[in-house]
Amino acid sequence: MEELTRLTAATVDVLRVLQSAGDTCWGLRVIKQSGRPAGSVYPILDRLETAGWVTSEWEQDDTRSGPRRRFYEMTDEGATAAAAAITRFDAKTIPAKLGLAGAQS
Amino acid sequence: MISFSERLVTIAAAMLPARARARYREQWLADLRDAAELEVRRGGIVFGAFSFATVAVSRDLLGTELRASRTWVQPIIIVLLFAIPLYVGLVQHDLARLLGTPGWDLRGNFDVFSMFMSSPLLYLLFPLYVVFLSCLRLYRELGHRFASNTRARVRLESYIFAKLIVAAGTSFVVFFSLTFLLFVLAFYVWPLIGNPSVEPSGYHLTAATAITQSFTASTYSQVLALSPMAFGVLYSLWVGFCASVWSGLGMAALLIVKNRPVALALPFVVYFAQTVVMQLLGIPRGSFVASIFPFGLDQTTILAGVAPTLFLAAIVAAVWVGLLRRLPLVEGLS
Repeated sequence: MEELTRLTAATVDVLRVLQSAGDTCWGLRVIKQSGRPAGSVYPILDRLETAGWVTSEWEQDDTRSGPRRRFYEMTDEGATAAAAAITRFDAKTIPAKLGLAGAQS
Repeated sequence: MISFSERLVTIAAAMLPARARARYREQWLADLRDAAELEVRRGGIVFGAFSFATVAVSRDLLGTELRASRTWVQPIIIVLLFAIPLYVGLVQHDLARLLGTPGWDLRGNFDVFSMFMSSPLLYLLFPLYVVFLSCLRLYRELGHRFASNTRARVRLESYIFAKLIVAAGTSFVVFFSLTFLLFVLAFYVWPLIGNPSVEPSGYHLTAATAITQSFTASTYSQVLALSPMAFGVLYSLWVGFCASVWSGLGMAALLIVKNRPVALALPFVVYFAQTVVMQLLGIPRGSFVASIFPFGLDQTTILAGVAPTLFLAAIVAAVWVGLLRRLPLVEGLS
């Protein structure tokens, strides 16, 4: 598994959705739940997959005809790295946000 | 029947490298079909597919192209490009004056900049430098039909488009850097070393009136009224853009003209011939040369100055649109 060269807020949002899903998560649901545009989420999922943080596979539902949904799942190493990355990101951004809120109040 | 959105994501998937096309085509079609279930906008998925495809293609092709397009000729051209104006400015205009002899022929720092940019070796051979900087790789590849062998792995249109972007980008970066460096040398370094050869009193001017007069010295110098830095940045961007346009013409010529050496020479022939014709017609300011290097000619409006190159840019763009549609028919690619 590779380290991510940059950790953006959008990446952290995607990681949170995947983390909270626990098991596999449909790609479109990641877009919906992260609140990020598809133009951000598709490249992030691809980057996470290339780096070995997540794996993806086609849905196994035989009842639905036509194109298959793509499901994503965190690898064990990816889950550990994601938890650390989210903690790191929050440690950096939450105090900054609180400081800003304090300054405004 | 396939919907418009489905057609669009299919096109986006087709832009991807061969190994990823089928996977993303199916994934995006499924996402489009089920978008309503999660109340996700279909337009967002289409836009996302195109963003993803653009980034993927850029990363794959431009990265490869950037690594592979470097040739030993490029450093030589770049050294030559930087050496010519410095030679003209520092040696031909008498190096001794730089070392403290009283100056004699320059009114101000705009004149210093003009002196650097006015070397015939620079402005007359401009398209040749651009072509040798940016088009040599395609020239060689067409020679041994490399592009036609690449079609199985990458879409031909994406492959050639990546080449165009890298060629135009290389030209832009080199000529922007060259112009901006000479601007910094003329406007910021020159005063630091005592403004050698600058003597406005020789023209019955003061330093202040020489600056005001430079606003009307040549086309584009009117931007100096805003600030020297605005002029430096905008003019450097313009020269970089012009280099990209001539690079685009060189690349198109290589794909259209069967004789490759002739194709490589075509931009220079067009540049030179149009300039001669404009001179003969008595409108030298309408030439391609004057559109890029207007120094020494009477000032005209910025719009009139940029018009010849913008006209050429429109033609080059139209040629490329046509070319990208007909690439499979191009000899050397089929």
